[in-house]
Amino acid sequence: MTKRSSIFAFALAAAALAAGPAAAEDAAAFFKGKTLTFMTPGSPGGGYDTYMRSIIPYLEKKTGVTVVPVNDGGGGHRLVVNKTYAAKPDGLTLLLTDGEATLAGQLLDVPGTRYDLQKMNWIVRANGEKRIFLFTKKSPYKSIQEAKTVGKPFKVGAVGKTSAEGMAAALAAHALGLNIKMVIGYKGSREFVRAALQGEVDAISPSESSAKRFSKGGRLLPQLTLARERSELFPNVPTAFEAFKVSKESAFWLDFNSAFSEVGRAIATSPNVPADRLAFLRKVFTEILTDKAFQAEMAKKRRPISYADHKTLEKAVSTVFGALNAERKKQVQHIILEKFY
Amino acid sequence: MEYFSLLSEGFLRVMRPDLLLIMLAAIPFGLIFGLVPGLSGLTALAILLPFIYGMQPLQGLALLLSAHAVIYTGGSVSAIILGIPGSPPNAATVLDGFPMARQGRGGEAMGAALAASGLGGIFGVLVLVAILPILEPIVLLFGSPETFFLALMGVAFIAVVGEGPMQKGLISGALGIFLALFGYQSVTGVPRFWFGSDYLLDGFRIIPLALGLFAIPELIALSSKGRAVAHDSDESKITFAQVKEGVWQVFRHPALFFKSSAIGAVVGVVPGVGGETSPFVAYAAAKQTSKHPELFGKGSIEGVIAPESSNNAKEGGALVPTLAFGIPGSTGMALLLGGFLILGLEPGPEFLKEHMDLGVGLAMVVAISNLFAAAVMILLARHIAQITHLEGHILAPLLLAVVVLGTFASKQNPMDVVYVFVFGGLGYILKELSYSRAALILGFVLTNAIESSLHISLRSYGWLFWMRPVSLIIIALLALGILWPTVKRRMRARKASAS
Repeated sequence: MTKRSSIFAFALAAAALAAGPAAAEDAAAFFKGKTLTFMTPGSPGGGYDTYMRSIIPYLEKKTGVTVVPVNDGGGGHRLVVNKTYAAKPDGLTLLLTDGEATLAGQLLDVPGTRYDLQKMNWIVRANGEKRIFLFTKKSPYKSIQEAKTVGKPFKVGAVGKTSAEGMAAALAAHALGLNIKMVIGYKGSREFVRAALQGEVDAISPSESSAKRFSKGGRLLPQLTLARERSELFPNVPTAFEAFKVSKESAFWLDFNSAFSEVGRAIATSPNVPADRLAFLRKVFTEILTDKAFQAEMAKKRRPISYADHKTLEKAVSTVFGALNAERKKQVQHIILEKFY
Repeated sequence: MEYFSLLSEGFLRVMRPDLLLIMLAAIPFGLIFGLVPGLSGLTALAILLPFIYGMQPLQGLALLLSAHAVIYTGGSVSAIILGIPGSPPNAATVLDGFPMARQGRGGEAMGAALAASGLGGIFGVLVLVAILPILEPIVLLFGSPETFFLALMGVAFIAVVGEGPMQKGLISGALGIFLALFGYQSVTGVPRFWFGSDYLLDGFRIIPLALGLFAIPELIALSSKGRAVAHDSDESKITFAQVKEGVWQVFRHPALFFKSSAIGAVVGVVPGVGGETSPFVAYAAAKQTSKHPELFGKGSIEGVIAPESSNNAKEGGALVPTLAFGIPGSTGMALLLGGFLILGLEPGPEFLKEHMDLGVGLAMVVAISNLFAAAVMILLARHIAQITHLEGHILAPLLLAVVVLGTFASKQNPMDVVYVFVFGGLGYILKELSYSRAALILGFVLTNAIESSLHISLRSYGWLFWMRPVSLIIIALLALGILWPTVKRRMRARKASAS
């Protein structure tokens, strides 16, 4: 390397080093004083809303933005995703998404889906939970193994075909060879829990925190964790891989299901947002979600934080879409939309 | 005895200066949100929710509950004096309240509506406290088949709530059902009649529909005639005596009051039927059993007492599943549940075992708020009703601004404002042709409950889903409700021929 080229390389490196903080400063300056729209499909007072509204004061303090919260669960939770995807690419529109339903919309070509999650900019995940299979006290079976052996169908309650717990139950039943009959149409998790307590359905598959809340007093009986690792909230409940002899094909479906829950309650923004603003948003949200005081505040509200960075989310999204060839996609559509109805 | 000690303990528990101050602050807030068309109880609660962070549980919940409990009390006033429901459940009050205002009896209608609201709210609370110790088994009695039959009962009353002939009521109800079919269908996951529009993907919303149907035709009438709502004559001057007379009317109709409040409390207990249903069902039941059904829709005081008693009684009932299982009995209760979780409380059977005192305290907050709101509004009624003497060309633009802003505020969606005018056009045509707008609303609000609960019932229980004790009781009541007018007519005819 000549002396001149060394000087040139040094100058370039110095410029690059200086540009990093400068870009961050530019991004920070951009957000200061602006109005940011933060949307969620969850209704006011619910889980998504609590996460969103708890983050807002921290976000305003750290960035100087004024946040306008929007709750819009329309179109099976897809309207807010459409709006975020079509928003101006300036980083001023954020979405706290219902990962499973959002993924299902695109995967199953549900009418009204106008987004591509692989092009969406993922920021962080606030919470992602494993699903627990619970039997009701009035269920005809005492254990999930007995249900499989007898083979007589049992009823599983859910909100809809493409709701998180509906898809989890269908994929798990297909993977493990369970004979289930899906009963859908409940407005939300509380309604299908009520149905379970009444004996209207025999089983449900809510998130682990909901399962913990509703199984208090032995009213619902946990059977199975739908993941490779056990749930911290249910250390004594076996995973599907422990409770059953799982073939390679079955493992594919169980892992596919886990990839869905991996996205969970994630925060995203529209495609093509400038890289410096994106980096700034990721840094701010990471600081908020890993802050011990914030985590304690959320734990008190029974809304735990299980942080994941954008790389984990991008990987989970590409696992869901990348794992499927045309034939597999047809199979997924059949399992989720037809097989148990 | 235990019941009364529960009540008195709960009462003493909320008689704290800090709690009374919080209630005093929340009640006017709730009343204003009720009064202004478009601003719903849900919006009021969403605004108040962030303020409860850091409060003690009873303080935070008192703030939310006090505001929420009195929304419909405020809404009844706009329904009567302007013919515009403050919130969708007040639409049933328009049917007779507004004709009374036009006859210069606005004071009497308001007195009756406010007293019925306040006392109905207290009735709901008494029911709640009575069943607090046995909430779980009671709520478990009401599954999807019962929700279906209760919603069906509402549909059966569509023809009865109609202002015009029965056939026209049924056509309006069918139109309401049709409009409710637009948008995303949760059972199949497929949107219907959405024509590629994101707005229609979500289906039509109740606020633009209710305001369009009721407000726009009145605004057209006000601006085209330019006259005030009430005819300006000496007889129509609103006096406190008129308001007092209205209050007394509630006491002169005890059976009607108890029946309507009981309907409200039962509809509140059953999650999923929808809070908008109870005032219509109470109205229809009142019309069917009234000695003067022909006066309904023309300014009958019974037509005001029935929906208003049930409206506020419903909220006591809606607290039942909220406290028993953490399952909200109405949309407002869903937000209240968010409040519970923010304050670190988890409603459910375990919650009631540990915090029965808090449950009774909350019931008392609802009772006191209802009483206080009714008293304040009765004292102010005479002054508020002066609006009915404002000339149309002054009042109409003011109201139009309120309607547009209220609609926009509910979802911050400009398309909602466009649809207020679309439904306004429909409302104008229906009004001119004497088709019932109330029946349309009732058909609209019940469709979703009927569709989902029928689907669940069939999947879960098969074709014999109706063979359950509570379902059979509701079916019997339904049959009685449908056959009663015929039975009554025959009895009268027999009496007449005998005499």
